Amino acid sequence: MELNTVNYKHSPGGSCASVAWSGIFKHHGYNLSEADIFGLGSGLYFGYCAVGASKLFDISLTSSSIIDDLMINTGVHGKLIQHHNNSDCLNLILKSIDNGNPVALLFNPYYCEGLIQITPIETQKYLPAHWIVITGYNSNHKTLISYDNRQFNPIEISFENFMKGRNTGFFDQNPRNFLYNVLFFDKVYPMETSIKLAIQKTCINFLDVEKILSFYVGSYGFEKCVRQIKQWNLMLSPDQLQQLLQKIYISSTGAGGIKGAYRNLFYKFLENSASVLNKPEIYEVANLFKESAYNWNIFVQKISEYQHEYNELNWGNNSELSNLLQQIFDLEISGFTSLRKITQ
Amino acid sequence: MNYSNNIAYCISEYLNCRYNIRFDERICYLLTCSLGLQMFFKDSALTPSKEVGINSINECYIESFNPLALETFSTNIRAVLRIDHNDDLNDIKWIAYDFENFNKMKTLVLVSSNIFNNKNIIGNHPVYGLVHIQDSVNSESDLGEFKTKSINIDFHKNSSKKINISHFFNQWSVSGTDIFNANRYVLIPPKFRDFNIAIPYLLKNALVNQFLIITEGGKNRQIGSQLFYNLKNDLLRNNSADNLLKHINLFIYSFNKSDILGVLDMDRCLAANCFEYLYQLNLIKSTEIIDTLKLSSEVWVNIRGFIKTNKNISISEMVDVYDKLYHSEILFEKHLKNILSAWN
Repeated sequence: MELNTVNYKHSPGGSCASVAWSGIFKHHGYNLSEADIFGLGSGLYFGYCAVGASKLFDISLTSSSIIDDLMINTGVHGKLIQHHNNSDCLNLILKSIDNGNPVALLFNPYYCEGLIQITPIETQKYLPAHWIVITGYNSNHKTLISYDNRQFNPIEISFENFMKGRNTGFFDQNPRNFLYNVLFFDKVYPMETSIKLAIQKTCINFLDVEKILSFYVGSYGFEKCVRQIKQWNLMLSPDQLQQLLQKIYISSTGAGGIKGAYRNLFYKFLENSASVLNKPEIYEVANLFKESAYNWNIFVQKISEYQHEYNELNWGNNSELSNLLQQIFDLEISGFTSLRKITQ
Repeated sequence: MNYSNNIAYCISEYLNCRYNIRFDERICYLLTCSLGLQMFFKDSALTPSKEVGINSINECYIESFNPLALETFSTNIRAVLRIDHNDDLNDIKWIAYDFENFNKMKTLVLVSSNIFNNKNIIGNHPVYGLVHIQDSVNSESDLGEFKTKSINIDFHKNSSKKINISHFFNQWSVSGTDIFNANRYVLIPPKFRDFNIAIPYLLKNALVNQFLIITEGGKNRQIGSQLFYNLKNDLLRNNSADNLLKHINLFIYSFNKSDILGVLDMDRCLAANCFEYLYQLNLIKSTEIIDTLKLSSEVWVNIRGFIKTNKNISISEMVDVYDKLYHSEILFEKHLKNILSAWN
């Protein structure tokens, strides 16, 4: 057969991981939105990297273990396997399609045509490895049919580019041949318990963890960032500062697809959680994150303005970015402190 | 009686050696959520490729194990987990590098149970280990020289083995599409703001997760009290000599499997020790679960002795075995639920 596709319903969105796995879960009968997947994967995060000696700074706003957490929190049996042999991996994916199952795949963003088309050239280097969903293949054209989170229509990827996109790119862009072997979708836990587990883990990240790898995390990271952001212009040259601001813009907006630094997704997840858990007090907390998302939008707009023109007045003790970040921190720490108590 | 568990010991020692972080083995065991007694296929490794059913007990064995133990542990404590398996030679060179450069640092690996050369055990089962090069090596050596070296693997406090390094160059096909090979793991724990404040939250999360694993998920779950309920019913429905033999062999194989690491009671005594530790830390108020698990340990030791030494076990005796095990597990599950309800 020339063309083989699964019956897959794609809903575009801002977060590539959450959109991809929302599609997979929906395919298996679990109506989880992008926001649900994000929340259940304990995706909300704040990390601040500051290695002054190497002039290495960064802000990270989503958890890197969102899919592992999603699997553990929902009870779906999913094991991350490295498949080094490209042909074997391709055959696995084709077999999955033949069995009627789509496959979520992490890929070098440079081989994701949909993403590259909408990302300015100068910021493409900041794109991390990208999630897409393979929903079919054309054996005559030797192409895979895929969906990208920001696009409505499917895109074809050649088998050749599939091979190239599996283990190339610098560290953050390199998917390193990983593929999740997901087997037991019928082992999904009751939503109530999954939500509590996921929220508690997000709270642990924010309230209890100080550092993960080179990132200062959660409240500790926020405090450090609020202090240091005032002096980024002193610690970095204008060029380095511009590059840092570009990088932060890409990561905080999901390459332009996300508003509110993922806090909008978390707010929607909390609204749904309030209903599932029958705890109306969570609506109040959700509103804190809605407000936080609004402030993050302003923060990101400022980042975008500052990256185009260096102005010393934007930095120092009266730094607007620092003040905004402080306001965001106040909202989020209040939110997480309440969430911990409510979902105990 | 062996009070040291394979994965819990390896994680505890690994974190202690590498990061000078003391995670008590008992805490590690609870954080891996490995308390559930579950039925697994004999010929299966990292992930089962099909659901275990009561009608396939001649292909199965019972064990207290979590196939996602390492992933569960890392999400529970918010650690970073990476599988690093570039190729066999690089894996071994990494192990040699650790040995040469980090004061004989041990590396966390996953190997196959076939290194025990136990003819009673078929298939390949995952066994965690801490390895370091036994003979002095030069990490710049080529493959030929490495293959002549030996490696020491520690499995738990009371079990280690010296094997030829060529074991790491084997690949094992298992049922389904997984290729099982010796994997090397990198586990990086976070730094907590105050670990003593964080640990109750980490443990409560883990115990909630554990409770879910045992009591929820899957149409035909073969775990915990439900497993023994199903097994008993199968025997009552089909009380032929053939079926009785299958049930007896299920236990004989299970005991042979657990023998390779010296586990005589499905780790029930270890589990009792873990909850006793929580009681000493004042995290749980009741000792009922400790008593239940100690009793369960005795039950397993007695059943082991009974089945291994009796040539003519009757249907009613086997049903009695299932009654005892069902009773033990249902009590354990009840006490675990009570602990979670009472947790502050």
